[in-house]
Amino acid sequence: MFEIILVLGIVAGVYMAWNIGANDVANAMASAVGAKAITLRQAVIIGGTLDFVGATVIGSHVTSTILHKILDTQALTDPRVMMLGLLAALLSAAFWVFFATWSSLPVSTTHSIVGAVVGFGIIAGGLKAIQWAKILAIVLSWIISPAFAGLLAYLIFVVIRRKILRRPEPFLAALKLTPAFLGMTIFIISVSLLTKTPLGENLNIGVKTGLICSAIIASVVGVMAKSRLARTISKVEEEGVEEIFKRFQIITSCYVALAHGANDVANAVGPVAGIYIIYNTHALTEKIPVPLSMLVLGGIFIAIGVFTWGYRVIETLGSKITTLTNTRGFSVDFGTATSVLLASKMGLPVSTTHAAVGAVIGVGLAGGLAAVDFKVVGKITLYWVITLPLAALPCMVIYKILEAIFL
Amino acid sequence: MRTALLRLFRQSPFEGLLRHADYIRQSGPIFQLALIAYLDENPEEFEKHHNQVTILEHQGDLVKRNIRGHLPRGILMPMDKFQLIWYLREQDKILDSVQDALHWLSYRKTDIPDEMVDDLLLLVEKVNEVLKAVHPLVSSAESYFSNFSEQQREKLKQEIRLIREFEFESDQVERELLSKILAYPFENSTSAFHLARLVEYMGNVANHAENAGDMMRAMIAR
Repeated sequence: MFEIILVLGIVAGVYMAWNIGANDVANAMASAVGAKAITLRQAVIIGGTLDFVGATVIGSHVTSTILHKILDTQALTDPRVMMLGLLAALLSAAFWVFFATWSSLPVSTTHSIVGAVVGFGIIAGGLKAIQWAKILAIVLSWIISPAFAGLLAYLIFVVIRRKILRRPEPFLAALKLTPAFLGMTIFIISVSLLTKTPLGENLNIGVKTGLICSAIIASVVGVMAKSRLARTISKVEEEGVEEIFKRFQIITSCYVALAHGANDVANAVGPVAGIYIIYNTHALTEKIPVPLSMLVLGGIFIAIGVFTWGYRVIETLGSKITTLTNTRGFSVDFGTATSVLLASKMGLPVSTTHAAVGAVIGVGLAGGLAAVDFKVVGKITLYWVITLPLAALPCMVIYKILEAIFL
Repeated sequence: MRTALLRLFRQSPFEGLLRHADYIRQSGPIFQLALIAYLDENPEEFEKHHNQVTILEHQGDLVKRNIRGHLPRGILMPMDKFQLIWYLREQDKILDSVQDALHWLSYRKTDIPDEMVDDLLLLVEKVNEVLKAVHPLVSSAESYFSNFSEQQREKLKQEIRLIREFEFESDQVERELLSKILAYPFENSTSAFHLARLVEYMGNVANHAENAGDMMRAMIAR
């Protein structure tokens, strides 16, 4: 019985991972393609590879969270129930994500899996089996993360406009601020890679050391980049500024792909890891360790998703969002990735897509985009509100069916 | 494909504004040829150009409606939406005035006294200059709202000043021509009315271009 559940769980998890790569990576990479900072082929390679790296190197903290922060394991003591529930949640989320993809509904994978796990918790252990306070924190993070991404993108674009674009010699102004912009990006990437990650733990790097190392790396790269950009860019004025930010955007694209992998792998791998641990130990442990092999498997299927279907979505989105120039694209990418990585570090499963929407709105509010529809935010909010019950209800039904078959 | 980002980006109003301004630019030489055909007493040729302008105006109207249709509530733009719609209205009236002038001219065959021909042709020249100046204005505005460069803003202000200058020159010729028309001893007063009204319609082209320029100035104000 356990074997069948494990196999079904892996299949559903793999499908979820494939879907994350196929549909969600595009939201992270399309702005760079639209701004012509990278080509479609480069976007696919960066998206696939760095999502994999993000998933395996940075991802584990979030992965363990999705289960622990939703379900009260004290109320659900039977490991078989837990195993079936996780399978039901995965199948339900996979079904909902499939339906959303088929009907073009802008539904988040993150919200689907959280909704499905909540559905299982309610049907198996009652309302008390859900850690409502933590659910509230997750839901709040769904509001805070796009708002924070929007605020960051807004501030960055306002600074770019005031301190660079409106200056009499914008190219020189951009060069002057290169260490700041690039340094900031490198610093955050470096912090996310080195602190509280398997990589950091392996290298014995604590938070303090991680911060110091990151600051040093960021300063060195920032200063070196300034002189290199001054030597290598032949364009001047506005074109030169866009060229500088084009180079930055290549880095922020990597940054977004990393953040995306780190954050979203949990949606596919979290429940599978739970099933796997119960399969192995036949018991529920206080804290479920996520095997690296699971993260690797999730990362591989996210990458396959990007290579098989994701490129088409990136292409469509990239051709649609051509009004994002490199300066705007940088602001959007920076806002999105920083917000998602911070949430990821705090163990909150947020939606990368929604953070990207928030960042685009932020640049739009700063007057940086020709025409952005603010009303879409309302529609997206509506979708994520309905995603929770619509992912939870099928999960309850699937769980009851599985219960009748296996228990 | 399920993605929220796809629904976020709306069509830039500048795409339509540039197309509309291009129709205005195209109408200039056609208007000039129509006037020359009228002066040459060649009704077939006049009608041909008159129809061309009517078609351009119709296409311009379609573009205008398309721009308005893509500006629903809740749209975020670098400029105030009300100002943009007002600007569009004025830009559209430029093309309307060119059409109005040719419509008006087509209603009657009036002999234009020789002493007014030069002034009339000069006014046509001024109208054409205005019509040519709209596209660069929109193009500069598109660049400015894309790069917010101070130099681009200065260039845009210069384009607005140029249109004001053309309007001033057009106004001078218009007043001169009106005073000549009203002083001329026409045998039939309808001829005087026909020509005076024609001159007013032609003057409206520059007036609306100036209004559009003023609205553009308001759009780029900090």
